[in-house]
Amino acid sequence: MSDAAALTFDDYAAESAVLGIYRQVFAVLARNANAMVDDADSVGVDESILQAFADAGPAGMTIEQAVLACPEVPADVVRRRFEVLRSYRAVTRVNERPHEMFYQATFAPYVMLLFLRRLSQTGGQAELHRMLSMARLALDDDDTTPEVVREQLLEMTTVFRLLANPIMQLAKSATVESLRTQAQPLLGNSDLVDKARVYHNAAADRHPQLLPECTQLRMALAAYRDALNTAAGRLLAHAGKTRALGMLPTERWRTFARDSSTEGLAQALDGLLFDAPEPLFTADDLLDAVEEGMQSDSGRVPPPRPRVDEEPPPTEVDVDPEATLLAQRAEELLAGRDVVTVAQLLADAGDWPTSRRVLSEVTAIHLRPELPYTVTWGDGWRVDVTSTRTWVSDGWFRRDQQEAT
Amino acid sequence: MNERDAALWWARIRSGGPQQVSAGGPTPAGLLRLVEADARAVWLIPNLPDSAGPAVLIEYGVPGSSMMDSKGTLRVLAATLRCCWPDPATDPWPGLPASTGHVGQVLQRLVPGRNKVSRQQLLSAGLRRLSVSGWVLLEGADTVRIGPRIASFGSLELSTLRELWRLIPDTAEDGPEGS
Repeated sequence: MSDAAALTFDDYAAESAVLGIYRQVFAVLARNANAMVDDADSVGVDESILQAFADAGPAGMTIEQAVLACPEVPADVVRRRFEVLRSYRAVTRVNERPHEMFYQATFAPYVMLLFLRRLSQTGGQAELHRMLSMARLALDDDDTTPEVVREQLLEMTTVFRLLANPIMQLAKSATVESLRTQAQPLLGNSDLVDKARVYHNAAADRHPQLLPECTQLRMALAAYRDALNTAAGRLLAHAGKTRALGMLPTERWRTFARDSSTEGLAQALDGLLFDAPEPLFTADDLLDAVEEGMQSDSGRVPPPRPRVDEEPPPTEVDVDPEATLLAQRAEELLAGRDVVTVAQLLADAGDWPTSRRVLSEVTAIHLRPELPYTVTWGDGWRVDVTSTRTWVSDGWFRRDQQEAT
Repeated sequence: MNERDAALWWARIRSGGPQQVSAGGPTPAGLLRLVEADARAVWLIPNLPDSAGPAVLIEYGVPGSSMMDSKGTLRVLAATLRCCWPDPATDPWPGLPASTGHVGQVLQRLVPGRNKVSRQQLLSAGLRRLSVSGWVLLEGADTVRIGPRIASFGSLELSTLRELWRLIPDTAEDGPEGS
């Protein structure tokens, strides 16, 4: 017993397709709607129960034995199906008396099961072929009475009517897509029609009194052929747009180009003449291309890329010539000392224009943070009225300690 | 050889390019025989006047069949011509076979700025394209000859080709392979 929610969509579609066939055939067996099977697993349980009865021998089985004989199915499921089978008299008591424990199975349900399985696999057309053949053979049998032939003729008429009606309905009023998907299994082959016509001719020859029934069959066959032609014509009219002719299976369309040989593919182009791929080069083209190639030095210019990781980070002391000069000048001013007073520097300079330049240089050196020299100013100041510099603030020009060590 | 056979040969050449036949056969009308170096086979190419050849397409401004990377392919053809044509005083056909390595070294001068891998790609792709349309002949994996279509150049264009020959510097075949 399968849970509908746990099934994938494909499983559910496959199961419901099988179940649809089962329902159609079981409908004649069901007494009411509640007794109808509603999943395909129940049919499997039926089969294992019947199999168990076949193995049990002529003595039959009790319900408990049947449950034991089907270990792969839950016990309550087996009991339920057993009750259903019993209610349809597929399983009967060995002796008709009260409290009879042993049951025996009839063979017809199993035959029905086999027939159903075949029908769900082939869609019923193969069975129709067999029935036509059997009816054709029965015609030649001397035991066959005209009544039997009349019944078979009527059955065949009904079958072909039933086959033709849905196809005609699809071809007339359904969309092309639904026609393509649904009519494919219904579309018969000409074999079926041919075989039915042979049967019809033989029946008409052998039993002329059955001509009215033969006419019915002939009309049903004609209706079937009309429906087929209408459906095929409608499919063909749309085939140009969709390529789905329905005449080749889809896989064939997909794999033909991959699987076929070179000759097979080339047959499509038989009778056509193609120009060879012959581009013309003049000598001037050749010369132009060569000259152009030799002139361009770099050939292909590489695409622009960020250059941050290619170049080392710029060091300003190295690249700035003024900073180099200032550092040099600072070493001259310090003359090997670590610290020197500004007053001393000015005194060494001599006259005022020179000392003014020294002062500006010292300030410039101080203002460059990357150079390891600083000027610090103090609060005191000294006055010397006789000198060219009448007053000088306290200040020290020094080398930075971390750089000096 | 009747008219029908001649027409058939013209159709073959039109759809399949220059055709190689054995040396003894007749020559259809309007075709030119190009004898191979060993004289065992001949190539048939159309012998058209200049005013009737494919150059007419250019005159009328009609686009002919195009070729991928035509500049690069032309340089490959020029390098092949330089290698397979030992003496520019003579006709280029039939020329001498040359190794593709030699052609690649000459090509190195014509496509500066390409690295070795990209130049090798250009060489093999160009040779393949040129051999399809009959401008060069590939013999084996790494030997190349000039194709029969080179011989369809007229005398005026041949002088341009000689100029081209002198323009391209030759490289010794066994020289070191540059990058």
